[in-house]
Amino acid sequence: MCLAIPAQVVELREGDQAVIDLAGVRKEISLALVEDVWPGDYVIVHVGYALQKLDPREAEKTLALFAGLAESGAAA
Amino acid sequence: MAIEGELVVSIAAAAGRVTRAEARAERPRVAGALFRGRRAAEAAPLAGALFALCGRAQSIAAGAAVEAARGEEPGARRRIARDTAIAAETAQEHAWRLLVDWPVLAGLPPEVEALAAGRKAIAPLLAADEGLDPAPAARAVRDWAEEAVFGSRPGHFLRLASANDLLAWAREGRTGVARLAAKVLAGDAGLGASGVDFLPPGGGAALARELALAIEGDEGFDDTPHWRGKPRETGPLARMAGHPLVADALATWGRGVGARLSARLVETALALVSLDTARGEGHGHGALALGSGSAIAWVETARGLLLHRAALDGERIAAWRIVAPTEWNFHPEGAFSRGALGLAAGDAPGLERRVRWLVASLDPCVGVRYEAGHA
Repeated sequence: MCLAIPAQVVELREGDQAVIDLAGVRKEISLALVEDVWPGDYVIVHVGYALQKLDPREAEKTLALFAGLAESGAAA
Repeated sequence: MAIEGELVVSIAAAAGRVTRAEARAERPRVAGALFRGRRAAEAAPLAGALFALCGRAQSIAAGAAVEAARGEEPGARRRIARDTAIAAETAQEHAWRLLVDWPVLAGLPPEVEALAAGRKAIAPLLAADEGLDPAPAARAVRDWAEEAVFGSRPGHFLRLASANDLLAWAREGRTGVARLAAKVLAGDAGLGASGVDFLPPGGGAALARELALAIEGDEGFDDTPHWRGKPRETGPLARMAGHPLVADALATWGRGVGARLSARLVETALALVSLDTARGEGHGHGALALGSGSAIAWVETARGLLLHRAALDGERIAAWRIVAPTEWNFHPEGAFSRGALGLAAGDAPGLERRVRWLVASLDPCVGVRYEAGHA
């Protein structure tokens, strides 16, 4: 199961591309499958494409869940 | 490891043949830790938020497991809405493979705009709740698929009844997907055929009961699942093996890339036809109470059988296990590893291309890293 870790859009680039920050790692991805995404928005990314835009409160909740796991070592 | 999870595929060859093929799913094991101690009502939204690709299937499995553990029976309307969402999610995932991932592998242009249009048309059906009339959205999705995938009505495509019929459809080349099929079937139809048997399709409650016992007795089951002691293939090919076109594809090309492509096309068409005719009869999902606050739920997702095994302590979750389709198909002795054995090694880029096709035909739910080694 691919984990849906929220990634934050950092910068928009030409051709529907964007730079995202996924848990501190920056990657360039495509926004071709989602609409109305701006820097600061959270998206779910899979193999180079943003799949879905997230409600920011939901995204922060999910990030907190994963952060809690990392601290407890359960995700190792 | 990629933080969201990754499948590491490693291949060794000697004397021109693949002698060892392994796939390790490197991904955080989070279900048990994240579910335990939460309120039972949180399970379905949590599962939907945690998993990126089959979020609807995950949340339906979690919700159905909690209902069964509490001894509740979902009504017909809820079962129908769930079957509709499962069919929609299956069509959406198959469309991604057919329009973007597989064309890229085949050296054809990916049809990203067509996929985006399809996802937009499918979206209302993914969100389907008990009040929605799926008919208008289902019609829109079928119109989209006629243009983007089949070049005819999905129901018309389902009249193809043999491998030769499919080849004729592919050669006509009315859509990018047909041209993709023509290219793949001309070169790689028999690629990666394995002798691994299928999980019985539509196994329903009887299969779930058997698998629940196996899960119970085996801590490692979630990583290396098996049925009656053997790894099995799950997914579209296992489900569609009885359809005349797929049965003939199996007889012609074996259990490999060509038959899996055939099965995905047939299943996509069937899913689209069933979007507004779902009757909630339990082929696509279900759940079974196991006593003492425990239950198992199953969903036939795009990639295969998904199991959620729940144990409640009153209103709290005491334990939760998930068995995902990728673990069946990428089992150390499963369809991938067995199918890759004996592949012609040839030159390194050619071997990587063939292995990537075999992996893609089994549609893992995480990205893939390829490592070539020596025997």
